[in-house]
Amino acid sequence: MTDTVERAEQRLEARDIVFEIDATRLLDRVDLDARKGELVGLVGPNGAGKTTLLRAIGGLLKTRDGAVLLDGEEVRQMGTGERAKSIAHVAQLAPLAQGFTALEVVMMGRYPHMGRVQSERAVDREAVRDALEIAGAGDLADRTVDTLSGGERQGVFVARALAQEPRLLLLDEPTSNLDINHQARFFNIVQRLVRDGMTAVAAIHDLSLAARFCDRLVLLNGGVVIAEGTPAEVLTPENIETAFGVRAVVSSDPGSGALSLSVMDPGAPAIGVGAGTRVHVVCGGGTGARLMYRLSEAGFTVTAGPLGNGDTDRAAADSLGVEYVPVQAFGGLDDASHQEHLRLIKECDIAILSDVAFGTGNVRSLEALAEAPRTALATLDPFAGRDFTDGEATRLFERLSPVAAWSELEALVTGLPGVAHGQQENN
Amino acid sequence: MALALVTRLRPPREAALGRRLGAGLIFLTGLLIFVVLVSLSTGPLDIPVSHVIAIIAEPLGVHLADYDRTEELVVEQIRMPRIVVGALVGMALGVAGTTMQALFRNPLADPGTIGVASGGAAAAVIAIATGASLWFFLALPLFALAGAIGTAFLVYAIAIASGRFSVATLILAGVAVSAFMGALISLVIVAVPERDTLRGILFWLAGGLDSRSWDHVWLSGPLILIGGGVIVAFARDLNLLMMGDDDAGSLGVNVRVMRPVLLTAASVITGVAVAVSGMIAFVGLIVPHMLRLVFGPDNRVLVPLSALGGAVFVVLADEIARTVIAPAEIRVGIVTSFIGAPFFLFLLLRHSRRVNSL
Repeated sequence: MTDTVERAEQRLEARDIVFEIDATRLLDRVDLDARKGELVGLVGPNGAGKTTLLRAIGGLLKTRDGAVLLDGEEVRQMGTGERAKSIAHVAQLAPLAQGFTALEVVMMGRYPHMGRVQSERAVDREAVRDALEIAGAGDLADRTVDTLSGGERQGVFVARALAQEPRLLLLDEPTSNLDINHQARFFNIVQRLVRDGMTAVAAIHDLSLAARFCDRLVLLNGGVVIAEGTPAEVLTPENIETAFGVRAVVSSDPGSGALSLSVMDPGAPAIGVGAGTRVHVVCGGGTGARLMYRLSEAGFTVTAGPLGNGDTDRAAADSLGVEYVPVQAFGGLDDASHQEHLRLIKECDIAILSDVAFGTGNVRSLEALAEAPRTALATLDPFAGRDFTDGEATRLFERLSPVAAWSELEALVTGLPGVAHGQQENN
Repeated sequence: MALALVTRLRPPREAALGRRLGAGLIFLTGLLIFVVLVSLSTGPLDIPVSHVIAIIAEPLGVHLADYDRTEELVVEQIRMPRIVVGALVGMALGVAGTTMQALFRNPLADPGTIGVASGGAAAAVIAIATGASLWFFLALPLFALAGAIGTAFLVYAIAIASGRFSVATLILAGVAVSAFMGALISLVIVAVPERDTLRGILFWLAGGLDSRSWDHVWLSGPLILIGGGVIVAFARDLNLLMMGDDDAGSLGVNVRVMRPVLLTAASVITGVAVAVSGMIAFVGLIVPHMLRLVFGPDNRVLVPLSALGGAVFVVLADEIARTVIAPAEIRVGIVTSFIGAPFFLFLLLRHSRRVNSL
């Protein structure tokens, strides 16, 4: 089995799909491929055509042009019964199912495998039980579906899709009703099915989730594919800005390699209230990313202290265009870097200390911080817990005379430009 | 009373499909036989049930008891055709109601939802007012049938005219056309000068089974049995259509073919029922609901059982209509509403959550 997965044979080929309602083109020459054993994520803004594309692939739409091939066979040429044995579709909104029990609903997934007047065979009952179990809905079997929560109901309809024993599983926002724990669980299930040889295409609106679980992503916008490839290839700030019209910061977790995305407030003015004011952030290890977004959003000119390669804050700074002092991770701060840091600090109007921890490698940043025209603290947490230098950092910290803590920083970010200058002491 | 028994006798929902269907079929068939025998024996001429059974058995070559010639005539030529027509009409309305509720995914749908009943009524009323109903004795039912089926196709044509089908458009088109037909009926009633014609119209509108003959049985029976058979055969597709078009499509139903087929079958049997009995209200709405409460929503069980349940309901209502103020009769359509509405409300309050869910 794994051998065939490794050979990665082509399972789904959708070519040149065109779909129109009246004169509006909802899909414009869309291509989508999925190999055996692959989970392909369909991402894009609302109205991009994700649902429409899934319905077109499932043969539920009369497309104007294009072809959908499943293992080389044209889906539209299949009989409806044959298609139902090959492709399962889980819609975004699970039907109420009006009084049917979960077991009865999942049994509907067996209809394509049963004769028209045939009643359930042992093999059908077994498939239904397995499907309920896999979808984590085993204990819901005898509940009527309309008494279930949205998430539970979604599980039941996923189980029904599995009971169809399809080669291709189409999922439309399958986790939109689930909490984060169940979202991860759900995608783990899909990944397992996919490893066993199924192919899945899922429309997912949560980009981080899509990046984390999908083998490949297809980014749709306005019915056109604008990017296709691995999550890292597709989810670039440029692509996200093109598709969603927002500036986003993409960083990859140094531990797991997973991509994470932070989207900036699309309503924030590009040049805002703090224009011209320079704010320096001393941070590291992800403690400053949010601070830097907020400050950039508000229009401040943001700079940052030393950031090692692989640091989440460094990725954030890169994508925000924040000037910082690049250093080797864990390499300590050499004199040249320290001078560079001092220059940035002396140029700024206010320097902010995040709740970064200090060791011997970065303790010189605190030394530099003392040279700032004024300083602020992003957190009021006791400093001692972040000192890994046997008191050296605490001694330097106590020499600082911060003018504001985070609560005031909120005002600083959202308030008038003057706040960052003279009047701060009057607060 | 018998109906209250239905709700008490509740086979477990978890029982396998076949067992649920079997239990329902046995119970409702027994109930239907009982109601039919009681109906055959009661009336202005009291005929003992033993004689009724003997009269039925005699043509089969079994001699059970002696009875007189009048009894035989009353049973065979007066009561039997009336009861058979009643049972057929009940079957048609029960099955059509179940079908419409499933197709429209709407608990308020009934056989008249897409204008079939009002279309049939309008055609019948016009036939009575113009005297066309007197051309020959089946002229009225044939007019009503043509009106009912014509209206169904008109409504369906309106609904698909935009090129995109939606259930909501179909229901709204049905409501609009029904309102139009209702206005037409009112206009005719107001315009008719003769009291006798007017009486004939009102009689027909209230729905009745009086003086139905074997000709009415032959007119309605085959169509109702064929239409009902089609729906029974496709009951599984009806289950899937209840889940919505996409779900049905991805589970192997050819929606573009199956929906018109089921809609046509339900409309034809409703039209036939209206043609031979006038407007018998409420049967198609409450019979499916009652049975759904007991046997669950699976149409493979519900469709055959609503045929029997509808038959029991109409025959029983007709029995009450004939006897309660004997020697006079009330219209059966009035009885079905009089018993049906309060009983339905009773069920609704008792099981409001489960009825709401459909």
